Formats: sequence, structure tokens, C-alpha cells
Amino acid sequence: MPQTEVKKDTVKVKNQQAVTQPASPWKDAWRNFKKNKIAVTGTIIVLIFTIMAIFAPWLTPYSHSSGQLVDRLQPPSSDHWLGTDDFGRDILSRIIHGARISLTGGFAAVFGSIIVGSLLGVIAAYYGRWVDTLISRIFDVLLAFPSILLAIAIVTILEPTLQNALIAIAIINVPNFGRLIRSRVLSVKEEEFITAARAVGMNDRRILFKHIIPNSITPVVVQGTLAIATAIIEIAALSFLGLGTQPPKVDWGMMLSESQQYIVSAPWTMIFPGLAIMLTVLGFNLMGDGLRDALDPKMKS
Amino acid sequence: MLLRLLEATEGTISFENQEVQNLSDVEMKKLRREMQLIFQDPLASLNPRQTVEKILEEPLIVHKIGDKKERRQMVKEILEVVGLDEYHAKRYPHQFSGGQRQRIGIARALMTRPKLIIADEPVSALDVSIQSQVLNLLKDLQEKFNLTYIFIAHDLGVVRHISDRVGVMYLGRLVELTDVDELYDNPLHPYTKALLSSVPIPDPELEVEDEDVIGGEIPSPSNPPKGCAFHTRCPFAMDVCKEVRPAFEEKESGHYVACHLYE
Repeated sequence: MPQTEVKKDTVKVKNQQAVTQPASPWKDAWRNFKKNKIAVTGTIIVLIFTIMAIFAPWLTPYSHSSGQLVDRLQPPSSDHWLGTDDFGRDILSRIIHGARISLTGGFAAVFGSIIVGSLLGVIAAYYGRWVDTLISRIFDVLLAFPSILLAIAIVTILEPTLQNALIAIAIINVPNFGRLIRSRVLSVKEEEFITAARAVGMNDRRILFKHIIPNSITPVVVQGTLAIATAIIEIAALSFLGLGTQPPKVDWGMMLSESQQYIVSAPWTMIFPGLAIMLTVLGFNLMGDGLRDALDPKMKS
Repeated sequence: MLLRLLEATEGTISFENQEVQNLSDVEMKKLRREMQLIFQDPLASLNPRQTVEKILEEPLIVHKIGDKKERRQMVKEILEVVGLDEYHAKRYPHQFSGGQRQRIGIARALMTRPKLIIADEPVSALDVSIQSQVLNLLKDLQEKFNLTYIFIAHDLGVVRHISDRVGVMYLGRLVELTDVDELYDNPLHPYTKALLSSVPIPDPELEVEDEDVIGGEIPSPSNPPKGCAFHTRCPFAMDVCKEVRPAFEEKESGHYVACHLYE
């Protein structure tokens, strides 16, 4: 690059442009995202909960699994900021530990469904014909069930553990991602640059991985962020029904379920886990909306 | 069809004495190195998530030409050839103007040093001022790399400027084929005559004479009229035109035409 700078005076203007870093589509998106205050707020909420989850053992003032029965059902105080539950366990500590399961569970379930859903969606869209028909009908069948009922059914068949709850949530989310990426790939593969790739002589695999998938994943990123929010609710719901997390592990849904009887006498046992769920879900939703705006293809060029 | 992006339904297509439609995938890939494509819409034909460098390098990777360092060097060279600067390599297609994008498209077509380039209306998406730049670039490259172009266009000025031989098509069939000067001076087919007379003359004083302008709508290309496809709009249509499709024959030396008027 330095050689061109000395060559001519006329290229001076061009060289000034050269100094500014060329923006990749992802960098462009990041710049748009930063401008969106609501989305940034959502991201901060998500980050706070993530940090809580990662450093849970160092952040919690009390044990999350054992408590002092003498201190049972204490209202919030300076000792127990968010009060205690029916076993005298500190609610703040339990919420912090619960964040681990909710967040990792949410990520894991969504990650699993993205992988499986994208794979099926790409195969369906790219190869078409009977493959497409078969995969699309499977998606239709899965979508025909109310998703939480399907999850409950899967967990009861498999045996109620956290792992199975995550598998169930992953399965019920697969058709959403599958359909999303299928429609994306269907439109991207008609684009002219795919024809160009074929004219160059590329094989299917290279076209798929270098051209079609990179141009199809943005909606999946957005949908994935939003799906984590729903997955967290679903994990909480399954745990609430006793089909997810098992003691001594703790989960926000399980906390809600345990506090049912005390809703009137000790409302803090229910309010705070509920708030935690609500805030996390809100955070992910705001972040997802922001991502969608930032990655919107119409914002390009 | 020559590139086998669409399969031929009938007939034969040959390139350097090989019948393209019967080649195996491996042979076809070899052949693709020899012939490349330039597209009408330069933005749509470039992957928006790849830098120019990656776009240009890819044909080389696919055809296993050179190592990474050599490939980068070739990308630099080709950018210079098509009139772009080296630092453009790190940019994305949406950061360029239409003319620059088409230069990238041309550069990509040149990467494998092909013998034949099929240009599908390469300048119709560009401004008139940019069109001439790109056309002149194509002409220079033709000399430099000893290229053959199959140049598809509807702008008759562009065609006259760049072509050696011109084929006129109507509803998917060649109706006339001859040298560029012969075609413009002595068009035989009524459709070619009408086409040439429809070129706007840049003189506002001139009165419009619409004797030669043909009326009517273009019939559906998927269901063209029987006989000569042009008979529905042809001012010289005869009875035979409605029944028999005229043969595509050499009527004068090097001048092919498909029309009953010259039988």
C-alpha cells in the first residue's frame, strides 16, 4: 500500500479512504446496534445475569442448597437481602445459582436446535424435491403440537432430568429454525452470485458453506437470541412441574413451584425468582430486537 | 447453456471441438476454466459477505491454481488490470459504485485466464458515462488476453461499438447473423430493420416517422406463434409465414437470415 501513496498526487483522495478501516457487514451491524439504547440495555441485563451465573460460587453470601430452619420464611432484611424460603435458604443465593441453569440451559437447548434445525433446513432447501417434502412435513407435525405439551410428553417418556428437559426444549424449537433457514436458503440460492459460483465450477459443498450459509445465518442469530428467552421460560415451566431440574440443584422454575403455598404469607419467595425470569427474558428479547434491526438486510449498502 | 447452468433440451453445443452437453462433471470443470461469465447486475452477482480479495481468489482455489501467496499476487495484478487499486481488495462489494463492481465482476471472470467470456448485458445496469468506460475496458482486455466474447445486449449502440459479428434473436431464435457493419448497413430481416429504426436519434428537431416502428405486443416466449414467430407483427407477413418456420440460411456471403422474403 505505501508504494501507491508515493506514485501520484491524484490518488491522494483515494488514499485517505484507504486509511479508514473497511467495514465488514458484522462491523456495520455492531455500529448500528450500539446506537440502539434499548438493545444495549437488554444486552447489559443479559451480561449481568451471565456474570452472576459464571461467578455464582464467589458471589453468593449463603449456600444455595442448605439453610437454617430457624431462619425460615424471613422477609427481606440486611442479612438476607431477598429473604429466605421455607427451608431457611437464602433466596438471593438461590437466584444467583439458578441463573447458571437457566442461562446455560437456555443456550444449550437453543444451540442444539439451531444445529439440528439448520442442518435439516439447509438440506431441505438445497436438495428440494422429496427430501424437502419429507423434512417439511416432519416440521409441520412437530409444530402441530402445542410446544410445551410436546416437551412435557418427551420428558415423561425419557425420565425427568434437566438434561432430558433440555433435549425436549431443543426438539420443540427445531422446526422454527428449520423453517427459518429453509426459507432463507431457498431465496439465497436463487441469487445471482450463486449462479456465478456455479459458473466458476464450484462444487455443492463449497457453494453451501462459503456462499449460502454465510448469507443465511443472520436471521438465525436474531431468532436464536429471542429463542433463548422462550427456552428459559420453558425450562422454568418444566422445572415448575417437577420435570426439569432436580434438587439439590436449583432453578428459578423450581423456586416458583416450591413457593406456591407461601404466595400469601411470604410473597418474596415467589416474587424474586419471578422477577429474575422476567428480567432475563426481557433482556434477551430487547437484545434480539436490537440485533434484528442492526442485521436487517435493508440497512445494508 | 454453454456453461451448462441450464441443460440443453435439444441440439448440440460445441466448444473447441468438444460437445459440451455430453461432458462429465470432471471434464466440465476443466472446461469452466476456459469460459467465464460476466453478469448483468454486478451487485447481485457478488457475494455480499466476501471481500473483493476473497471473491477474486475463489476461482483460483476452486481450480487449484497457485498457493496462497501466488494467488494474492494474482489478485493484485488483476485489480490493476481492470483499473482498481490494491487497497480495494479488503473491501466489500456494497462499498463500491456500480462501475467499480462491474470491474470486480470482470476481474473475477479473468482470474482463470479463460478463452471465452460470456457477458450477459454487462453494461445495461450502469450509467451511460460508466458504460463506455467498461466497454473500453472490455475491448482492451480482449486484445490483452486474446479473449472471445459472447456479448448479450439490447442496446444497439453498445452492440455496434463492441461487436465483430452480431446475431439478432427474436423469441429465443436467431433471425439474423452477420458482420457488424453488414448488419447495420444492410439489415435483411424485417425485425432487424424495425430494431435499427427504433434507435433514438439524439436530435430533438427531428420529426418522428413511425413507418418502420412495429406495433403489437411480444407474444409469449413459452408459447411462440406457429410458423415464423415474427409473423404476428411483421409488416411484410405472407401466408406462408403463418404456417412454415423459415430456415436459417446463408442468403448473402456470411450473412445468415431466417425469413421467407428472401427465398
